Amino acid sequence: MTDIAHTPRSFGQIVDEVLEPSPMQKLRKRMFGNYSFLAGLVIILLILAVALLAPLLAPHDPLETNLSNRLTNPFWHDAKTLEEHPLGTDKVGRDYLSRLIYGAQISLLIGVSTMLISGTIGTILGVTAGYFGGRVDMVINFIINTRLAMPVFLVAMAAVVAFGASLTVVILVLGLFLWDRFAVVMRSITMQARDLDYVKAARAMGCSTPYIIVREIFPNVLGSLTVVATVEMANAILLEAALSFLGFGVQAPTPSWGLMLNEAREYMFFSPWLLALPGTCLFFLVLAINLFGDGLRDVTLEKGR
Amino acid sequence: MKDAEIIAPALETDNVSCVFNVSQGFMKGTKPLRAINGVSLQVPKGEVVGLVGESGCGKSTLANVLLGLQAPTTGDVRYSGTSAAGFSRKDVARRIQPIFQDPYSSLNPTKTIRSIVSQPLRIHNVGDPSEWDAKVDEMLDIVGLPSRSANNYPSQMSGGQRQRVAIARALIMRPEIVICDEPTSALDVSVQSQILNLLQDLKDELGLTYLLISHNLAVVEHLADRVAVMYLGRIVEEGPADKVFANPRHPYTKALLESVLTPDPKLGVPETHLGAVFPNPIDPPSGCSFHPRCVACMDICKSKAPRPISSEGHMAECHLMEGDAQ
Repeated sequence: MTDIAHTPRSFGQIVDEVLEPSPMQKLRKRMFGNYSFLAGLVIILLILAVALLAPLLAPHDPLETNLSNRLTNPFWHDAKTLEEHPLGTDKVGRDYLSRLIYGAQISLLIGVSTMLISGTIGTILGVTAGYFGGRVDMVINFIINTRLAMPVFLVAMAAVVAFGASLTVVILVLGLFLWDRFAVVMRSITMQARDLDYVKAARAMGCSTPYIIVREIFPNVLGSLTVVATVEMANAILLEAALSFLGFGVQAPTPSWGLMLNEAREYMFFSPWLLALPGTCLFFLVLAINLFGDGLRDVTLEKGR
Repeated sequence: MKDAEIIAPALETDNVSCVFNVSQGFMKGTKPLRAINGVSLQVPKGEVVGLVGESGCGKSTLANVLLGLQAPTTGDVRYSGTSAAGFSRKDVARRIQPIFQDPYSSLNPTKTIRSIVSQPLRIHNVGDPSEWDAKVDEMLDIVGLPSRSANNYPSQMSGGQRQRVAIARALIMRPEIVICDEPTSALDVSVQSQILNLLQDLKDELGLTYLLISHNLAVVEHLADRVAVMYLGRIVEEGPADKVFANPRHPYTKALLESVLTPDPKLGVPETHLGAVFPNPIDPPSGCSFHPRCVACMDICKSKAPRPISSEGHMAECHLMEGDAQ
């Protein structure tokens, strides 16, 4: 009788030799085979490096004005400027390249902090609703629907008018508003995970509910969470740019790409690069985040759908 | 019958019912669904009781009640004679553990095998944490896995290996009772017998008591000492396995035994005379709940529910038995 329990040991050793790669190894392999993920990652890392190293990279103080040297042309129009102001100056004579470099800081700061605030709110609401279901789910669904019924842009502008425009207000308003997608996605994924047998096994083992949510369910919804987080980060960056462009976001003289677009509006036909440069920066950052998020979804979700 | 037993059964349910209120739609109120309706079942220590019945008859709800995951609406669950009424979830967990059907969903894919198997030790904070690794290795050895596999993730293992991990996790706290909920039906046929033999060996080595839930009658016949047949939330027949299989008393049990597929393709799909319709448990039939599908249905079956009648430790709930028993 007992030998039956022990014979598989030899089987086990054979199986061990042809062992499948570990999840980490598989993940690494999928990462390096996914070009949109890699491209997004490279651009994001590049922009992140520029933002972090801004004081070293920027040739000038982005706030330093020089009215005698306004609206100079970039190097492709005027080779003389290459050394002093490679991308020219804006309407009050600030170095455009330095402003673009520091603008990356603002965009990333807004993207990351908004994503952290809204991600926390949305994940807590969504996981709670998905795990407990029933009445709790009804209440949280009502909160989600209430939020979805409010136009983000109008409420954001109203809040800015009420509390005054500043970087903090923009981050808080966006953070307190963009959690709906987190909540909806986390809710449905938690609902799927909660009915799996490993959760039942944990409950039968005597695990407490908070332990089950944090240690059993959360690691399994983390993949989807990061995908939503990247999408929402891109969304927040675009919203900040739009708010700043309308004058409801970050206020001058802070170098924000959206604000730079706003300030360049009147020179659109004479100095189109004033619009094109911050626009291109925004475009590449958002494109990179979306590529990264898309790639991340393919990389992390097994049987890549 | 109770007086004859010197030791209290390892697991006992006394008239347990479980009623869910099912919503009938918006603003229409709720209707009660009796998932389990007055089940009294005894699992003697060291024995294997097979619980059979078709999908939706309440087997899994009964398992949840026994595991302490679902509070019974009425009735009492007793572990070795002690009522579970005052037990915390951890108290129940120390006595009874489950093995689930699908080893692909019963192991958390983000954890290593070592973490999965040692989890009960960590939750219950048993002994010295420095001994946990050794305990996991010992348990893996008992279920026939190399200790090297402790650092693997479930996705690196086959279905049979995963089921061995699930068994190791269930047994590491040395519970008295294990509920095996379809332990082999998600596995390849070639692996099923390995797992069944493992369960059999573990029972003998560790002195376990099993409640084996299955709709595979061959599995039940192979392992079980006693068999309980469940239909629409009630135990309709219960008795020693050999007697129930050789001489079924309830028409439903007879139909179940006739429905077993044979390897000979010439015989075709067996005719069960049951019809296709399983009654809606929200709206159960009057009298004997089995009467609309019963081949031996009499007038009394439509109006009066049969009472349990036992002889020689073999119980059945059927009006057909009234004549024989008296």
